[in-house]
Amino acid sequence: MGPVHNLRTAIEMKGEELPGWFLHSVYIASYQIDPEKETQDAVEKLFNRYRGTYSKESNSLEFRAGSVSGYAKGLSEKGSQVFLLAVGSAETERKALDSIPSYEPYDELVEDMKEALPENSDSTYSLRLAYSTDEKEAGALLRCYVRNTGRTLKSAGFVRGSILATLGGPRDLSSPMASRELMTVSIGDGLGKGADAVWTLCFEICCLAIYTGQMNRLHSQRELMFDQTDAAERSTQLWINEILAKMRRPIEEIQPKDLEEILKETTIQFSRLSTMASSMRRDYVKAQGLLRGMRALLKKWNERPMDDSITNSSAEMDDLENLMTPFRDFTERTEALMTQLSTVLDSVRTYLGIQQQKMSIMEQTSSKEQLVRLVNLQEILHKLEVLIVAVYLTEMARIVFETLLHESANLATTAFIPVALLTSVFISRILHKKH
Amino acid sequence: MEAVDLSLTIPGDWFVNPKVLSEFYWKYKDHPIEEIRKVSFQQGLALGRSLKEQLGIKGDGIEGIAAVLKAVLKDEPTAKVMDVKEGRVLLRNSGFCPLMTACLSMNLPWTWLCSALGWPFFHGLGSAVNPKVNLAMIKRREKGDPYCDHIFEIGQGKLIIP
Repeated sequence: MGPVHNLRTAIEMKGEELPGWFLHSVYIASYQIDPEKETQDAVEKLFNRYRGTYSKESNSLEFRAGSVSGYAKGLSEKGSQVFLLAVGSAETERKALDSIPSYEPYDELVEDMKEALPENSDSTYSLRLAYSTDEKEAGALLRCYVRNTGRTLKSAGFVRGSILATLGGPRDLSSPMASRELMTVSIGDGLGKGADAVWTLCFEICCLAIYTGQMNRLHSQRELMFDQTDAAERSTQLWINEILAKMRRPIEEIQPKDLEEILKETTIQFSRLSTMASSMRRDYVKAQGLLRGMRALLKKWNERPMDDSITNSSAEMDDLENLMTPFRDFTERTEALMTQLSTVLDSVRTYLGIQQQKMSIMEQTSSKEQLVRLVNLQEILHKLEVLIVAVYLTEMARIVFETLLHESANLATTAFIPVALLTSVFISRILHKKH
Repeated sequence: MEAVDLSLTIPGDWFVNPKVLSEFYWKYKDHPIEEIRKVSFQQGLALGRSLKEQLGIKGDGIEGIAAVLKAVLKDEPTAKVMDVKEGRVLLRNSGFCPLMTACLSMNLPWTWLCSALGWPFFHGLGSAVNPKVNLAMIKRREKGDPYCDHIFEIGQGKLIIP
């Protein structure tokens, strides 16, 4: 969910009145609110410095510093805080129209007010304003300003009855997304509806600052990861190649211990990549939410292009989309590595399966041999059993013969041996049949 | 700043446990970094001493340091002892390491974790074998290098982060 798009309406609904003087220079800065820390009291600091009319409830201040009027407002929205510093003059004479005013006194006051703001803003917008009677004159004023300041026109278009231009060129030292310089030429006399439209535009730029600020923060938190993507991907790819090379060895050379080690390392890598891909996807989804919010805000501008320039809306959207690209790229690249690791895991599983099958065949072969050995042994035992029984029978017969036949006992015993053997075989068969 | 016994708050598996890293960071992120480094160093030292005993490492040579590092990193596919020669051990960390993963998943600052916890811990491991070992972090991914090179050399027992 993005910030409220119409901060202006929200302010008016609270019964707050906006200054009636001509705006000439505006500075907007957005910050992330740390839930553990108290929000900044920059507006109160400004009140202590400049006095004027301060409302703690609405967190706003209006004051005068010599001939220059100042206004400051702090707004909190969806985890962000944005400060609007505006300066201008009550000058309502015609001389303020169709000319580029001297911004020096206004810029000086803005610079002075900025000292009260917290450091490390996520995004800033500096806006200068001029007033013109018609569209043609407004275009001429803008071109004149761009030429005189040695800047370039990055984007320009007609928004809310004004020409809004984003400046590029030599002064644009910081990241193009983090810091913007804008020029607005309001068309009309700058009073009534015209002044109203300028304020509305300022508050819409506050919303824009929240979106770009949140996106900048998200991007800067991940920048190191993006920078490391190539190196980490290369290193992981090398590792995968090494594993696949190991797996290409003849199956007999791969020991179960090696497979276990490969499986362990691959599982670690796979789970890490999975965590990283899903975390980056989470951030990408967040970024998409910001993009949707910004698109809805800029759609309300219904911006009309000026000459051949790209519109501010398109330029802002392009910049935001460019910041989103690395999130998607990172996710896709880690997922591609995960696919390869899945192949490695499948290979390891296949090898383990083959080895298991081999072991099972070996076990089967081994048990068959064991069975043959057992059968042979049993046969030997049977024969031994027959012999033992035959010996016993013969011995018993000898005892009988010695008692009955005396001298021919040995002959009779010898003659009895085949009978004993046959009898033993017969007994053995009967006994084994029963079993 | 209140005095806290940090040693009680880092479990032994901190380097592979994102939850622990996250809790630790949010609790001590505003604490002086030197104190956290000392705690992490002590933890590495304790683990290193226990491994030295288990592995039966004698003497204070560079080979002993390499053996301790290998034992700690035996299941870690992204960190390898690359070189042990001429009085130095080169441990290289590349790819998607555990700290990188924890930082992304728990939204933690990578540089802080490596600098406050990671490098002092490894210095502690090496110091268990030889208290005079220096650990120089010449190449570091947090400053844009493609990998982190941990170079252990006998010196004055310093952690060098140029």
